[in-house]
Amino acid sequence: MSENSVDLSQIRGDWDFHCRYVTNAMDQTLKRLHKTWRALQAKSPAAGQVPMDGPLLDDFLAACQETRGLTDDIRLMRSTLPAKRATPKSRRSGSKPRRARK
Amino acid sequence: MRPHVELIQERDLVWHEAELYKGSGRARQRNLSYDEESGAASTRVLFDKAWSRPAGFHSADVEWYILAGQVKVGARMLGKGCYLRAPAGLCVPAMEVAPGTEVLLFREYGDWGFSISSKNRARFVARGGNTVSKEAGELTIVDTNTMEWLPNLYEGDTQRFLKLKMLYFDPPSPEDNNTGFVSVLSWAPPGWSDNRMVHHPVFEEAYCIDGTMEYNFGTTNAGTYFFRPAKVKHGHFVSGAERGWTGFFRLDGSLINWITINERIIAEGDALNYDAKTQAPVIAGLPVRSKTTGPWDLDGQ
Repeated sequence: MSENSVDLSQIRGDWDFHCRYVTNAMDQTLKRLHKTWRALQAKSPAAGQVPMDGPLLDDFLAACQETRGLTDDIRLMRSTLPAKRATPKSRRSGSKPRRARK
Repeated sequence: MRPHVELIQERDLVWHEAELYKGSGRARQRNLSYDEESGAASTRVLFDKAWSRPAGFHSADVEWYILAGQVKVGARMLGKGCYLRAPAGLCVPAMEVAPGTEVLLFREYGDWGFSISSKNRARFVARGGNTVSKEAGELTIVDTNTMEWLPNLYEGDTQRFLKLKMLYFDPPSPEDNNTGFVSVLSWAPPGWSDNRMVHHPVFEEAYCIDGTMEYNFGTTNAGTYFFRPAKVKHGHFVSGAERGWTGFFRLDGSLINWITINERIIAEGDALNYDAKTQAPVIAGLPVRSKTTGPWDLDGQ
């Protein structure tokens, strides 16, 4: 089916591009999840309960599953995190940044 | 021979009497794609009244995806989001369908024929019309509601962020990619995009269940459908900002993404008696469209 290692360079964009995509997808899906949950609570049939049937519940459950699916992408981004750029010598701890000449 | 349909809105189509032979009850269908040579078809069926059929086998490989309502297969009750597949010749238990039920019904490598029987058509029933497997075919029943969305391992890395729920997978032969069969649910999460043009060695068919997606053939949203023969380019995808896009896909082999960049088409000729700007001929092979999806702007041609 597919190779085990992931080479994101086969898709356009760099790691930051993909990270922004994943963050946005999670953000939008969580918004939908919370929105449908609040709507279910507003339709509470009895104290401490939400409706256990209907399209709103279906949508909430779908959003939960999608949120879970997106966590795989967060793990993928974590596992492909690029090495941190080397910090310039002057900014390393213990040495003061050089003053700009006037 | 199925024509290139891309893109139609199912609501634009007329109803026909459902091709559900040997069944009792009233049902109608919209033909999304129809192969007038083999009788294969992709349809959306609405059961106006309760419908039932005794056990028996089909002439074609048959798949049901339940959009709404309830279907009883033998002793098992299936609801919205459930999937059923039976290869041609395999005995399917008696079925009962509740009034108001809506399904996507696909048949492949055969027509609408159905024989009432308590046994399979033959001692050995193949997995499907395009299989290379030597294993016996079987009844597949899947409840997609209880399945996890998995990373798109199927297409390798190039569309990694798509999500899949694999419903049926018949692997291709190592020597011939255009064998086997795949039926799958796919979700493009909010904001998913791919700016390239892609084509595959196999046909690709999809019905949008939820969400929206902009792409080179227009806007696909709930109820839109395409049947794309092998090697037709498509792409420039951007999925909806809030829900993304979810669809039911079928493929007659293994999906390989062949990528085109910097695509262009050059048509040359000298107009003798017409205005080349306003009266130029259209290119042959334009896909079938419906009134809601409107004319194609030729993006990605």
